[in-house]
Amino acid sequence: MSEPLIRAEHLVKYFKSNAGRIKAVDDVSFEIYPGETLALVGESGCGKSTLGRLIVRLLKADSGTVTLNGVDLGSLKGSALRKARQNMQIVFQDPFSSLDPHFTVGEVIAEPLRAAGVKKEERVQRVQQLMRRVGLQEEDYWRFPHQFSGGQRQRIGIARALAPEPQLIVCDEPVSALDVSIQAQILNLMRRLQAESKLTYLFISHDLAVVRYISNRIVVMFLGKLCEICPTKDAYEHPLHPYTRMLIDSAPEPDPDFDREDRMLLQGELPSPINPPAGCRFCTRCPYATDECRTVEPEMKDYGGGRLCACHHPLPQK
Amino acid sequence: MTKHRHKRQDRLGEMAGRTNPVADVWRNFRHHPVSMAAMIVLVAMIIMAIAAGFIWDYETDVVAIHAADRLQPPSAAHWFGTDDFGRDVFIRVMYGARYSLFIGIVTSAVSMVFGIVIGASCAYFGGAYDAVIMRIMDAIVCIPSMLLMLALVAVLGKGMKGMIIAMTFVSVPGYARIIRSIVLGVVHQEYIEAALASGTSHVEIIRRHILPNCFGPILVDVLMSVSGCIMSASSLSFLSMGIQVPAPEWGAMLSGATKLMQLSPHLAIFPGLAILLTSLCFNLIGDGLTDALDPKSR
Repeated sequence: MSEPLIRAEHLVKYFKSNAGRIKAVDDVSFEIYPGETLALVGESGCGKSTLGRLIVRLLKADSGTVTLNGVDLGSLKGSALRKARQNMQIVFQDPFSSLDPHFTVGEVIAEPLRAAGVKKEERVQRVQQLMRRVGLQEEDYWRFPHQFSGGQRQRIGIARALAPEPQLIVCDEPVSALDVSIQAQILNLMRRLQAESKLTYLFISHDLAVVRYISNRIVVMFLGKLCEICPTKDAYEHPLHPYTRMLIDSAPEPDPDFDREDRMLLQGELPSPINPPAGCRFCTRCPYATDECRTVEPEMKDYGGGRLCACHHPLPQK
Repeated sequence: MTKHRHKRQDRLGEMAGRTNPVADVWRNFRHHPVSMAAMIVLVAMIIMAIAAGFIWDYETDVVAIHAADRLQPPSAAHWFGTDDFGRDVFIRVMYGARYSLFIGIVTSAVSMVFGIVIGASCAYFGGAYDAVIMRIMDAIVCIPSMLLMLALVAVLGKGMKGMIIAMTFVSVPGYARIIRSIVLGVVHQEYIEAALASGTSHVEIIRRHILPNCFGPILVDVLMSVSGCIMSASSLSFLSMGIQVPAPEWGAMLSGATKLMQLSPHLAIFPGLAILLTSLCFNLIGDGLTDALDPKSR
């Protein structure tokens, strides 16, 4: 495979709270290759969004590094960092709070260009062009975000992310706040834009139907740790980690003839990220857990074919 | 065809600018009949307060004693009647607007400046600084404000200056808390993160996102608090700890009227109405502005 665009190594991020340290992201390493869509999946509260924000350095990691094209982002400061940010943008989950209510659509989309020092006339032209690309009308330029529907607002957010011509766009649950009919439109738009501009996506989601549709590879996260990294097809057809299987089986299946009997379903609640279980963090919910799982933390092992899994007892492969 | 093109070019040229936010707010405010009425009344009062100094002489018309005209009911000669020293209540109420408006506006403005500095810096820096400052503010809020003001006036001395300082000291914690929460609410919005991610500098983020989004709620809050200040000032004067007789401060006038309430109710009614009307006007204007400043109404 080619050189990775993003390489995250041993990322750690803890948050302080009154109850103690929340281990949001705990020693996470993975790579993102140019042109791919890497999906990051997991339950709510497992640290997906934190990891996404660490990648674009909206949060600073407690330890570990993120390199973009071989440059360590943690070492950048001030204007060098601001310049590097142009290369990686983020699309947010909430299309309402992610747009400043005082800004017109044109101003929202122009913001990264303004930050990059693009002249006014050129800015207007490029914003117009971007608006056409994401399917907004020319006369929307002067309208305010609140005059749009959720889907249209997400188009505005995407146009803003696209403006500085980034290589990577982190999409933090970009469609989970939208109606299902609108989700498909936005996903198709994102796929089209990816093909046009050779974009790389880190696609954060908990919706496995969406992930299957859009991603090439998948990273499964549980309570601040990665469980499995593999091509999307493998995750759905023959996953290695029991958690991956359970996550996929828990997605609703529209086919009424589908055999629901042999599904593995998740039991219980997510353990506390302040006080995670010893050994494998998934051991309290895993039907295969042994004493080894409860004491020794599993290492990420390479199973070939781009598949990595951190489990003492991976599922048998057909 | 060419005509259409020209039109389009114009639009593009126009897009480099921006709509005028002040004009937008004014346009919305005008559609609030009650707030507009309050605004007109208040402007009239401010004009009266300024004009009063030119129309009437303080020594001869406002404080001089006319024994022959004592306790007259309202009439054509004395619209609001006269008080127990024979002074015209109408002139005194009009003249008194100077005190109340001045104290109300100055106290609110000064408190707001302190409140913004303390509240915004707490929201921005957070951590131990925030915790320590906010606990101090909480401690001040714990003491009943009237008691604290009385104690401060006793130390600082009666009169305008002592009163303004005491009132400012008492009202700053409330401001700081509200402004802190307003700023925190804005800082944690995703559009701030989006601005950071797009490489916008901190200074630009504060100038272009945080200030405009905080300005509206803070302004409304200040306007609403002017009425509170006017009432506090009147209360202090009523307790003879503020503006001293014979100066025609509304609270002081009410204080003088208490013992004659049954005999000459007009002595209490007119200054009382003046306090009520002024406070109400500020509140109603604040109400109208809340709606007019909402970006969703543009």
